[in-house]
Amino acid sequence: MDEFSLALLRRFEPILKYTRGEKFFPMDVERYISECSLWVKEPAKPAQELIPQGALTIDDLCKPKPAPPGSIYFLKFIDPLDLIELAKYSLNKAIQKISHSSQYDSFRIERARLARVGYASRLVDALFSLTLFLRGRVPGDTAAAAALAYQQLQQKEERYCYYGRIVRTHNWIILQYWYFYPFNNWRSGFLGVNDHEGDWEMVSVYCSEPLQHDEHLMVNTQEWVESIQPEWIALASHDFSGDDLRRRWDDPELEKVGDHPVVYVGAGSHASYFQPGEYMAELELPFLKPFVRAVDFLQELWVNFLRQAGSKESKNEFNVFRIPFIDYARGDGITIGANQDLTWQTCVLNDNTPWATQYRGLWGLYAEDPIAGENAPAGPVYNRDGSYRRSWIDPLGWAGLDKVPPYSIWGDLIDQQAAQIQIRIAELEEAIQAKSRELQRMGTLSVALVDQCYLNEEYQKIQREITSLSQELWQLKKELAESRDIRAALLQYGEQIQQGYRESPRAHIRREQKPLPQTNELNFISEMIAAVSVGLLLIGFVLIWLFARHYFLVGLVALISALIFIEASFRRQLPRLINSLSIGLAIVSFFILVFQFFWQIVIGGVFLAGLFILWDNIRELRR
Amino acid sequence: MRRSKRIHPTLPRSVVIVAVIQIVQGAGLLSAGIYQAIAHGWGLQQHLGNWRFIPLPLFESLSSAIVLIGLGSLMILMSIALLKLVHWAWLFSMSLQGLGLLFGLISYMRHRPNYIGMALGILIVFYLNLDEVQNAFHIQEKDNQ
Repeated sequence: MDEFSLALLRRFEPILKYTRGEKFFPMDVERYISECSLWVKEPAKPAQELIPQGALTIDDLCKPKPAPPGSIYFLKFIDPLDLIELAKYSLNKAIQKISHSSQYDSFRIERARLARVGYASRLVDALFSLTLFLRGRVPGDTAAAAALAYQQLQQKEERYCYYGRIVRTHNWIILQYWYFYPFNNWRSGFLGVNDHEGDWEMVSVYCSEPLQHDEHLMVNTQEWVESIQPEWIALASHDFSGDDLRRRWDDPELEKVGDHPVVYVGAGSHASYFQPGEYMAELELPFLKPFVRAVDFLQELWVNFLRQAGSKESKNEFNVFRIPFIDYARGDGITIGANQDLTWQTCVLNDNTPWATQYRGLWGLYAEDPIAGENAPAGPVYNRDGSYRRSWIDPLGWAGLDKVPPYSIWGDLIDQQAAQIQIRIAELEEAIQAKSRELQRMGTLSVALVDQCYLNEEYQKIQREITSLSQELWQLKKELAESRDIRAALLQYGEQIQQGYRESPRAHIRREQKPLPQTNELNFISEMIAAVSVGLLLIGFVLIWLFARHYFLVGLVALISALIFIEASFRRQLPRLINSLSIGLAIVSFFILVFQFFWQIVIGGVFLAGLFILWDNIRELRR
Repeated sequence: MRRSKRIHPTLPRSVVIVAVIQIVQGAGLLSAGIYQAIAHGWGLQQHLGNWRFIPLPLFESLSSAIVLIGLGSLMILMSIALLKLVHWAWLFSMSLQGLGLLFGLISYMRHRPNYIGMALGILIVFYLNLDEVQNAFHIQEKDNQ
């Protein structure tokens, strides 16, 4: 990479702010690979070690790897700790916590995630937790072992790296900052969705390319770098894609220190956010997809067709069949970046970097998890299945910028388009002139032939031609009128651009990622109830069945009601609860009435429809 | 006693509809209570059936004249409060309808259904939950706070 590119990458390199308790930070792949072994899992065979830890080099990754279809190559970073090691680790951690030796090492969940959602979501969450026993997952102590291994690596040489890549396309200079973490401990460290070895995250800065390559600028690196204007930034995120991933450089939501954007990193998950806070991420289990779609459809019907309350907000509310998880991106931990205590080391990544482009395997343990959350990701270029990542081969389309030109060339593009439309307008005017004359000529001929019975066939032919020509002329006139309007709108917009007008920096955002509100309604008791409610419910269910089977239904209703009412009272949500219960009862009652009086309802409906039609028609007669 | 403040200057049509339906429902309960009092007296132990899974003496007393008259009067009062857009009327009406629907379901399970009461209850809950009605009583704003 040349000095221009390096200087440009450094000018806009993001400042990453982590949450207290984060244990893994971006590192170079060389040190990671030196601690890994290489494995292959062929279909219907146990995983087989190809190159042991210590012997594996980057060059080994880049060698061709023939294997039968369905085979998966993967790295294995760490083995779980044995009992003594784990006890030592836990003891050290406890001592650190008591002595507060590291202010960045303590994490506390202040607002339990389950207290933020309803009972149905909690049941689905309990189901998800149970599936962890059935599906493949990263073993429990692996996170602790990985933390120890990473600590040792950092003790030898403390380094924080990102991989910078520059892509020049369609008048854009795209700066990609790739971060490689040795481990994602979101589940075991922060009650999140998953744990997995290896983690790739990315931040993209989109700059407009200077229109003319000034020779003077090309000689002076500093001046060239300063002439580059950043326009957008996009962060990889869990549930968002396209336009919603990016923010304009002048968006007030984007925090900056000089030219360096500030990014808040999710604890354990390493997802990126523009603002500090706690974010609700939703996981959709594949087998619950039909239920999710059904609930979405019913919500749409409830809000838009029946005009029931909740309206706009309720569309964004969490679907009960999606599992809620919180991503803590508080930014109260370590900060890495320019002019901070910890700074970046820039590593180079491009289309010729062999370990990125020639190794299609996973960058950590393949846990054989069918949901894939516990399997390590592939590298920056590929997805887990070996296909290309969109962010690598189409960085503009990935952030929805494929339709957006750099601001610096908007004026030129508008002028070009206006000129093209002007040419078309001239063509259309000419064609309309000619066709009008032709139509008039044929009209005259048609009138002349109308009474000449021996020329009837000719007359009919001309009539058909007149109809066709008239239609054609109408289309041309319509296109002309629209073209004039489009040109006028373009010129008007061009003038606005010249005067410095820009649309709102948030106009492109369809769905915004907002941190959860810091409400005071969730106190310790409501969090406690939320945490124990599903377990208590199941135990109560069994106890009532064993000891009071006669009153099973009443007992169950009483138990559920008591839990719900106590929690709602502590959260000061009794009105909402009463509303939800009444609606639930009304829906049940509605179905009972439909069941009991189905035919009467149908007949009554038809009768009323008849009356309405009668009334409507008679009213029409009276007009 | 301080009078409740009016919270909305205009009265949406849906609020009028819900108030009227609730008045009809209240009047029905009131009439049933008066009839009960005349025909069977004011007793609190009217036996409505023998469904042993719900051994609730409270439920037995629900068909008593006193409760029916009380509920009917309360509903009519709530309707007037709804028409005046008094801010607590929405919550009380919704609570009353929730209770009404719950006991309607219990009655249905005890083979003593009150289909008209259920239908009116469904209609009222539907109207009370309309965006327009909730906005009139500032319900969603309170929820979002």
